[in-house]
This record gives sequence, C-alpha cells and structure tokens, in this order.
Amino acid sequence: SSGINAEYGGNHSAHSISSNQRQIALISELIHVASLVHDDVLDSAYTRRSLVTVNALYNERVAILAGDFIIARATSKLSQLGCPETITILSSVIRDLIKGEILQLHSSSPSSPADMFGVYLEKTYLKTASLISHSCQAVALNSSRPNLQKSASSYGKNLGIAFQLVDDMLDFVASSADMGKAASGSDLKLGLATAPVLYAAREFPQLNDMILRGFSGEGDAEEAFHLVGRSEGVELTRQLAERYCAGAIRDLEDMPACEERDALSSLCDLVLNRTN
Amino acid sequence: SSGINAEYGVDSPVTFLGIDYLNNEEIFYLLENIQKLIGTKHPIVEFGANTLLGSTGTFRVHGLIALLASQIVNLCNTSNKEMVYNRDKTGILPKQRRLVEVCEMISTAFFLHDSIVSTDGSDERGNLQKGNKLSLLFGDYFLATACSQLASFEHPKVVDSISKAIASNVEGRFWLDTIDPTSPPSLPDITRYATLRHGTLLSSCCLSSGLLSGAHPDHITALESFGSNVGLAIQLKREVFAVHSGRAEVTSYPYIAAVENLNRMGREVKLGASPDQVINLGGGIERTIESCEQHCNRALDALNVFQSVDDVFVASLGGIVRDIKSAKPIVSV
Repeated sequence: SSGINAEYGGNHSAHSISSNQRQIALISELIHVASLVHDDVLDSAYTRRSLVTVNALYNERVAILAGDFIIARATSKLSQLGCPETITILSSVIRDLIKGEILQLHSSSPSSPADMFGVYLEKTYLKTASLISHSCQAVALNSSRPNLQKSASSYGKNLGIAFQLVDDMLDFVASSADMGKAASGSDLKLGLATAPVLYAAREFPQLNDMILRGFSGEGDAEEAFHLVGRSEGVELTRQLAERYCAGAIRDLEDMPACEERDALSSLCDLVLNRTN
Repeated sequence: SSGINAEYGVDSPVTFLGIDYLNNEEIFYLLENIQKLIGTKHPIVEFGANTLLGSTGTFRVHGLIALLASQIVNLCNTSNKEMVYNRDKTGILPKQRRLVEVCEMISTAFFLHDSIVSTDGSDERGNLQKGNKLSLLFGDYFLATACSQLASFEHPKVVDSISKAIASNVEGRFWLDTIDPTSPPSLPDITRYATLRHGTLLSSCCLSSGLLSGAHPDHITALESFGSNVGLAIQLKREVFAVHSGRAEVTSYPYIAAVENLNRMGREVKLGASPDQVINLGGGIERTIESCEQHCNRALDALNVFQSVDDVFVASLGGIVRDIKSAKPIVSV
C-alpha cells in the first residue's frame, strides 16, 4: 500500500512513472514486509491478514532470517539506484521502524499521562508514517519536480498517521459488514494504549493505572474496552484522523492538478472510511 | 604476537563500542529490559554484561585485519591525491574506520539473531521468550544503524557489496541451520555454507575498503579474495579449537570431513557415535587443519599483489595470517 502511494506520487510529478520510481515503490514494499515478518515474531502472532505467519509456518529462527534477507535485498536494490540521497532517505525508514518498536517496548512504563499521547504519536510516526512519508519524498526526489519533496513527504506523513489512527479506532469498533463479528480489542490484549483509550482516560481516570501496567491486571483489558465504548474515545480518534487527512489534502495543493492528484485525494477518503 | 603489535599499528582498539553508538535512548531502553532477565539462562544476558563492557571478539580480529588491509591498499594508491589528503596519521581514511565499525555491528547483529533459544517446555515465566524478543530487537537495532551508516558513505557500490554480504550470511546460516545429521552435506557444500556464513562479510569489508580508497580493480579483486579466504580460515581454526575443548558439532567441517573420509574407506558412521568419536576416527581435525592452511596460503597469494608496499604493513597482515595457519590462537575464544 505504501508502494501504491509512492507510485501515484511519482506519477503526478511527471505523468509517467520512471523506472527508479518503480524501484522505490518496490523497495518500500520490501522494507514493509521485512518489518511485518519480524513484528510477527515480536508479537508471537500466528496469523496476519487471515494467513499463517512465517514464524508459525516454520519457526522463529526462520522468520528472523527471512526478515534479515529481505532487508538485505531491499538495501542492495536501493544501492543499485546509484543515488546517495535516495539511499539516505529510505535507509532512515529502517532506522525509524526499529526505533518505533523499541519505543513501544519502553512505553509500557511511561512517565506520566501527559507524555503518553506524545509518545503514542511519535511511535505511530516511526512505525507507520515514516515509511510512507519517506517513500513519497524519495519518489518526488526522483521526479522532474524534486522541489515537491517537502509536500510529498508531508502528505505521506499525514496520510500515514491518519491510517494508523483509523486502524487503532477500528480495533474498538465492530465491523458492520461482518454481521455479528465483535470488535477484537486486540491492542488492549497486547498491552498497547492507543488513541481511543488515551482519549477515554480523560473521562475515566481509572484507565490511567491500567495503561501504566499495560492492562496486565486481571480483567483490565475487558474493563478498558467497556470504558472506551462508554467514552468519546472512538469519536475523538476519528476527528483527529480527519484533521490529519485535511492536512494531507492541503499538501496536495502544491502539486499540479491531474487525475493522479485526485486519486491521492480520494485515498484520504478511503483511509478515513474503511471498515476493516 | 604479531596480533598485538598490529593493533598498535592501527592506533585504536578495534571495536565499534565507542560512545556514540551506546549513548542513546534506544540502547538504554534495551539494556533496562535485559537487566530484568538477569538470573535467567538466556544468552542475551551474557551479551549485555560482557559485550557492551568489553569486546565480544565476534569481529575483533576481523576488524583488525580489515584496518590493516585499508592501510595497505591506501599506500598502493598514492596517485589519488584526495584520498591521500583525507587519511589520518595511521594512513587510514575515517570512512574506512567507520566501515569496519559497521561490519562489526552487522556481525554483532548476526550473533544476536543467532541467540534465539527454543522455548519448548521450560519457560514458565516467559523469560526465554522475552530474551528472544530482546535479541531480535537488539540485532535489528544494530542492522538498522549499520544501514544508516552505510548510507552516509555516499558510495552506492559499498552499500551494494555489504548488503549482498548480509544476504549471503543469511543464506549460509539457513543452510547450516537446516542440516540433517542423518544425511549430512558434502565437503564442498559445507565449505560453501561456511564461506557464506564466515567469509563474505570480511571479504566485502576488505573489498569496500578498496572502493573507498578508489583503488585499482586488481587490488579490489585481491582484497575480495583475501578477505574471503581469511574469514573461512579463521572459522576452520575455531572449529578445530572447539573439538579440542569438547564442543564438537555435526554441522562443522571437522565432522563432515571425518564422515567423508570414513565413507571413502568403506566404513560406516556408527549409530549413536558422538561427534568427537566420529571426528577422531575419520581424521577430521587433520583435514580441517589442511583446509585452513590452503585458505591461508590463498590469502597470502592475494597479498602478493601489494608487494610494492612498505614491508611493515604487509608483514603485519601476513603475520596474522601465518598465526591463523599455525596452531597459535590470536585471541582467546
């Protein structure tokens, strides 16, 4: 998906996608897949998108090797573009992804409720938005209009954060398309405090202690889920996502009007309104 | 020994464990979590205690070798005025030193990713699993830092070479992991796996050093061959030491060599025989020492390309290779 973004981004800088831009899209997908393979080991996840994970199909060692291999191949392809600046832009994504994971590990013991939202947004940027933002920037750099790098990067960042906010929101919302399918609340079970819960804690301060102990107490996850449902948490999260999308659309205004720009704009709607 | 003298020649202890890479939040958070596992048997605890306070020895002698090779290739390349200008007082470019640090980081990442232990059965408090996760994260951190550092060299061919070495290393580890003791690989195959796992990173490091120096293609080829042969030779000698200290493994060269010898003599490997027994019966140690000598000689041949250089540096590097060839350990394993 970040690959598609990058391709569209490239497209409207020049109305045809250069081979470098295609490679950038491919490389960013490879980096994304590598991070997912390792994330599944970290989360001990047995399924992803209804498919068996690498660590479940084989074992953890194989999954770790696979992730390493994919990153190596991605970096090798990156070097073959022969552009030092592009290499720097995309390799900073690899660094950001791991920083995000470590921040997530550490944020199970944050210092204060006030810090928590800031840490959450930083973690969201590092784990999700950085890849999209830097891919868009790289693609703009490799276009006929490299001066659009800043707008492209900002678009990617805003879209990425909006995407993750909606993702975090959907974890608390039953999908109306799948009749009778309950919301999973899986983030709570993993001990993660995302935007809906952080917002809900302002209305129900008892959530703060649960957040600080990573919902590890008996019945914590269930009670937190219930409290989020009673709060404005989900709606406030949605509003925040809308603000980021509005930012993304403003970034698009710097780009020439064309079909591809419209496509990127409707991507924002898609992100906001998806149900799964 | 020539090893210690050579360290003085390159002016600094060969380790990336300088303050820059350790003085940041990420390492701090990771160490905090490792502390919680003290008392468990996970390898990452030993890593945290020993490695960060001193050198692991995972790439220590390799790093020294790469730095010496950098000195030598720079000396052969004095027509490159810009390179000459940028060398430090030991004749090494700052980028070449950073390259060696990057390779040590990558080697450490591999060590950490190999420190994953099986959690079947006895892991009631989930400590082993936590240790595994830390090993993965810590290893990823070093790999990611290495990638950013590589990018800062602004030399795409260096990035390509090191990336390919990482991929080769993974391939080597995969093959070694999936060896079936009841149907062991052939000697050429185990040599290939061992080269992938232990030769490609040093080879790429030496080659890339040459690239950073702007060296002649013949010198770069020589560096590639030198690094690959030395890396493998070091591993073969380590495997000999491992047998001597009672740590023989079925995935090692001595074992496979012994099996092949026994098969050639028409003797079968007895079911239930320990790796030590098989290796002793089949003359595995002798064959490994022979192979180590061969690869050291190939490395020394590659060094001949640099004959025009001041004897001191080539002698240092040649001395280290001869130390590897003879039975003397260079660093305690």
